[in-house]
Amino acid sequence: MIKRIKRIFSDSFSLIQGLAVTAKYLFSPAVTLQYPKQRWTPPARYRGRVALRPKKCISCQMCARACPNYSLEVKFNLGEDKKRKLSGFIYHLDTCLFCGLCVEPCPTAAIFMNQEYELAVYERKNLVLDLTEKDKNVE
Amino acid sequence: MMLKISPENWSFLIEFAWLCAKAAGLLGFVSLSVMFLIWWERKISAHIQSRLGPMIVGWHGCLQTIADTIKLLLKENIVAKDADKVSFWLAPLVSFVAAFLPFAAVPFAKHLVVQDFGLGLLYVFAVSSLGVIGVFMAGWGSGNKYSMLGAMRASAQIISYEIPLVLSVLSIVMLTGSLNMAKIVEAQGQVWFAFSQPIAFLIYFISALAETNRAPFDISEAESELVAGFHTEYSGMKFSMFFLAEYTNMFIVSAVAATLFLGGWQGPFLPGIFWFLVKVYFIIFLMMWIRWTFPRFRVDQLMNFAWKFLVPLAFLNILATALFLVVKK
Amino acid sequence: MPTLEIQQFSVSFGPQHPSTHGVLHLQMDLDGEVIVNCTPHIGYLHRDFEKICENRTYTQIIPFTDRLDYIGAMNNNFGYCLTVEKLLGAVIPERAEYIRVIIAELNRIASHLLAVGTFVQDLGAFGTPLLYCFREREMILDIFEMTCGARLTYSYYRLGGVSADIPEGFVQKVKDFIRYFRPKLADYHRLITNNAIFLIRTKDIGILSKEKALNYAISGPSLRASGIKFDLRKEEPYSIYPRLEFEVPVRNSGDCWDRYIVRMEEMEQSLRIVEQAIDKIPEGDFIAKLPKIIKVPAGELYFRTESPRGELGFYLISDGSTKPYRLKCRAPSFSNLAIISELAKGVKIADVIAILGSLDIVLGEIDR
Repeated sequence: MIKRIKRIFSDSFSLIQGLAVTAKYLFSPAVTLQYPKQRWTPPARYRGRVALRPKKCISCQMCARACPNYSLEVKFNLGEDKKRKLSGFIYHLDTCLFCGLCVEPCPTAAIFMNQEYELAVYERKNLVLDLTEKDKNVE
Repeated sequence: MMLKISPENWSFLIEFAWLCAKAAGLLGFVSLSVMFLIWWERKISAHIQSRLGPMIVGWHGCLQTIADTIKLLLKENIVAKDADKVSFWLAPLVSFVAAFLPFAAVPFAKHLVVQDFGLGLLYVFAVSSLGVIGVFMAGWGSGNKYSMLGAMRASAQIISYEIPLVLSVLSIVMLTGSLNMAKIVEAQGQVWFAFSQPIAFLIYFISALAETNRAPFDISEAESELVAGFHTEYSGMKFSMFFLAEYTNMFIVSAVAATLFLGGWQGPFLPGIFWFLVKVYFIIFLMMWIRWTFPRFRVDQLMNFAWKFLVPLAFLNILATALFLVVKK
Repeated sequence: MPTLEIQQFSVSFGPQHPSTHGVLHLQMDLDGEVIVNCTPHIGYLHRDFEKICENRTYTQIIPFTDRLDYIGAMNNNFGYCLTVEKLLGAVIPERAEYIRVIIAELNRIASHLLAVGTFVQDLGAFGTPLLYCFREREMILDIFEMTCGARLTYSYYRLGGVSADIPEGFVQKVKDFIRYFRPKLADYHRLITNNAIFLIRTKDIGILSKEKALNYAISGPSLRASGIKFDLRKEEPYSIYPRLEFEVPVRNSGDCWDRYIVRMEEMEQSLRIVEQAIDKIPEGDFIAKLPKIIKVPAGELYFRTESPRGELGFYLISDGSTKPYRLKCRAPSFSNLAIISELAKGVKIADVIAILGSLDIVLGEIDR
């Protein structure tokens, strides 16, 4: 009998302890970031999406070979001096894993991952980008 | 052909019209309150969880309930093929009406009551029990075996917890000797019944939580259960009726608690209705606080708790009160 | 006159359901409220991991290992990299070892936070403990974002070390996190651990005996809650674990409450490990100098590490080329899930949900 009454007291005490914890957070400030009015600035190393500095690219295709999902296609023409000139850089956003393995082997730091995270589009064909176009290479 | 209206008929008609006006006013006030309560619940739950809740519609989201109601009104009315049409359509109405009827006997301030019954308390408990019929009709009318199961569990829960609810209040009735709500409030002039009958208050509060299907007793509404409860098949306006009925239920049990245990409209300086509302919202706040802190009971544990713990405790309380009254005399 | 028959009825729990942790399909035969039979059906998340790996180079497999146990992704990377490095015979620089262990233990804390949060959520505490756990998890994920740029599928580890050195401010941020998190653990204990309602829902529910646990190859916190003191970081130590002081929490009853409390205590121990290691990071390289094209000598190896869910094993058969001949992943949740059909017999539906939550499974690694 005594044990039962003691248990009732300890049970009620545990419930009140729980209520105290919740009350503490009730009166603490919220941690919400009100997107889209307030935005999060990603850190410097953030892996947004792949972007290119076309002037630095020597079309060695190391990035395309490194990609685990075959999401990059590097197209080039041979110029008069037998040097490769970049003619098209197709990037398949729909199969990209955002792993960053393409950035490491680039010898000229032409390819990098930028800070864009708002990548949703309405049509699937908009997910295939040609990174040699002017407006595609936001930092 | 002129209708002969004699003076007695006139006074009856005028009284009837006055009653309707009071009832309409009450309906409007309670509906507004319920909309406010829904917003308040979302805000309190948000701040307990370190987040913000609705912020966009109106100042800090206060008009969010209106936006939600408009959305629910515009939804498609889906009725299952196996549904029993009459039951399905009537169930939310029955719940809604049963939730509103008890307000007629609750005194909001010293002379602000729709109808001052001699048997006010009995009326309140009798009429609020009609809500079970709504639940059952919803479960049966959905034509879904899981809704039926959920409805049966909910009905069993509501019916079981009515016993300790009424028993706890019985000791108050014994102390005041009357079922009239206004007289009970006046009898608390010296000390509130919450302090002189704490066990009764506790039992009443816990039973009230279970009656309104609030956590930790919300097994019938649980999403993480196999059955999603008796209102699975409801969408649109019918669902919002159930939703509003739940909050109205919360309001009525808190109003009864404030009247019976916390001294009704009594309070210094400010008008009675203000103190009444403060006490009602305080109890509602307690209910919300508890909901967002604790996990829920399992069905059999819930029933165990009611029958094996609350009912004997309520009887002990009545016994103690009776002994006290005998000794006092 | 027709006789009254009581029939069992069969119910599908999932695959779309708020309480199964992932796309799991439980086929249950119910007798009233009590369960007679419970069979898990898996495979809804099968993405062909092992076959894909046969056609990718060793470095290219690393992002795919992230997606196995997506909640504790760093530990998957860790296990895989250790397996290949053992076969390669590579020597990892000290600095890389320290960084690897700190990050892996932080991920263990994040994973246990999620496990505990969703467990209490399934019991009905409508989100409050869950959101607190996620708030703490956000701090860890911010640290990871600062280090490698991603919040869930990191691909941070490389063969021979890690892909980038720890950035400036990393040590300070981790120390801030340790200081912030310890009182929060005390909060959780106050809110959940001794809560009367929580105790009724989890004590003596889903009791897993020692013999059954050993027979079903259960590993991880579920095993330690049944009384068997077995942690791969102590039994078969790898990396710098032998130099770090930490305890292995063990409980004896094997019910849901014990599994929960073992996870809470493991979080405390991981915090201890991070605290010890963060002060001792030596200077040096963050990755070993391996050839650009990595060819693993022919051979086979099974190497196991302790992931937050149990024994994560990788069995690698190499034929000397740049791509593995066969890579098999032994997922801890796969074996842990098998016990549900035993534990679910004779309990009520609400208890099955509690048991499933306490076993802490991730469908990503069950289905691979």
